[in-house]
Amino acid sequence: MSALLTQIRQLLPPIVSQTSWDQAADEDRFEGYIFALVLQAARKEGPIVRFENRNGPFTGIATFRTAPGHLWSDIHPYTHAVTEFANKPLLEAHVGVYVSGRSRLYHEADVAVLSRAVARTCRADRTDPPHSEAVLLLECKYYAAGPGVGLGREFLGLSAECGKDQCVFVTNQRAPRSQKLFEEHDREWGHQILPGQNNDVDRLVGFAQRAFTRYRAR
Amino acid sequence: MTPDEIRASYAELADALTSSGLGWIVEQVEQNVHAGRAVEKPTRIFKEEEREEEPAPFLGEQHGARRAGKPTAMITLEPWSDSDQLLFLIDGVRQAIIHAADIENEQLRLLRTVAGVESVSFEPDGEPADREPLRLTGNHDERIQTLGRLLGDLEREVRS
Repeated sequence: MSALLTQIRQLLPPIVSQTSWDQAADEDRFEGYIFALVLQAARKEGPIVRFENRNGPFTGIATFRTAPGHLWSDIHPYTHAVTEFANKPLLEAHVGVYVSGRSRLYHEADVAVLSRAVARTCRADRTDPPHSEAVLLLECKYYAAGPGVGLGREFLGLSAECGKDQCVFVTNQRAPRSQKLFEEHDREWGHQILPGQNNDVDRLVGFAQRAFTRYRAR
Repeated sequence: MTPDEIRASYAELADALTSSGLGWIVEQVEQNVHAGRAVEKPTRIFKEEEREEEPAPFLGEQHGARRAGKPTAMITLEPWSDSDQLLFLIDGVRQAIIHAADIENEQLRLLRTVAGVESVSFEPDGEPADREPLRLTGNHDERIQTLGRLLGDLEREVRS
């Protein structure tokens, strides 16, 4: 027993020194993973998907924000995906951008899919996209221990502001109390979203896929 | 494991994490533990007492003989057991490192199916930058696999 803990204690420092294992870094990893799952859902619906940078063509390094910022920001060559569905206006997928809600207040969308025409307008005019132009808005929470139900309450507010049909709360944890809250209030959620949790991951990808299907059918 | 061994193991693992700069995992687990475990408790609401013409002055809550009324399920918070707390801490390390490494690798694998992604970089937007950029190129460190195996062994001992 104690030998096990001794081995764990010896392993931790070299692992920790290798790269960032803090809450913010884990949240970044998670947002990038959810972004990739959304693109996977889009590709199941058949579009061409490609990457672009804020300031030009994609160069092989996908650059995302560490925290939500303005879609128009050009501090770094932030990367977004462009999806081309046949006979439909283009869409863009972004990581960590502000979106304005019904009340015209800013909200943070960890992953957002929205009209490319609107995104281009935002870049040109340095404005933030309205929620009404979003096809998908994902709130991503990565926690070492169960996220408090307060996060669920915050998501209720976000989805009331930005439209409950396109908003989804995504976490790596089981979060049974949040599940009850979301079921009671008819909100979409994806819990235990981790590689290897195939049922939960497929369910989230399916939700995103349905959002793209609805978009194609408009 | 005996209750004393479980408590000692929690303290030892928490100390190992904190001294390695992973105290945030311990803090999150302790917040979760502090919030308690919400359980439904079947109970009966007190039946309302009959009103008197001139009520006696209030002298604090007095629990007289209970006249059971309508049955209902109410929510109460119960403390987590010591073994649950240790299991949370083990899972916290797994989430923070093992699963996070899996997520990094899966993210890169999925993005590479879309375009030639060499790496993923997370950069702060705005000033002042309160943290360093994060560069992801994939993580296949064998020590992380070993840590995962050791955590699994520890979890089995707690559950045995």
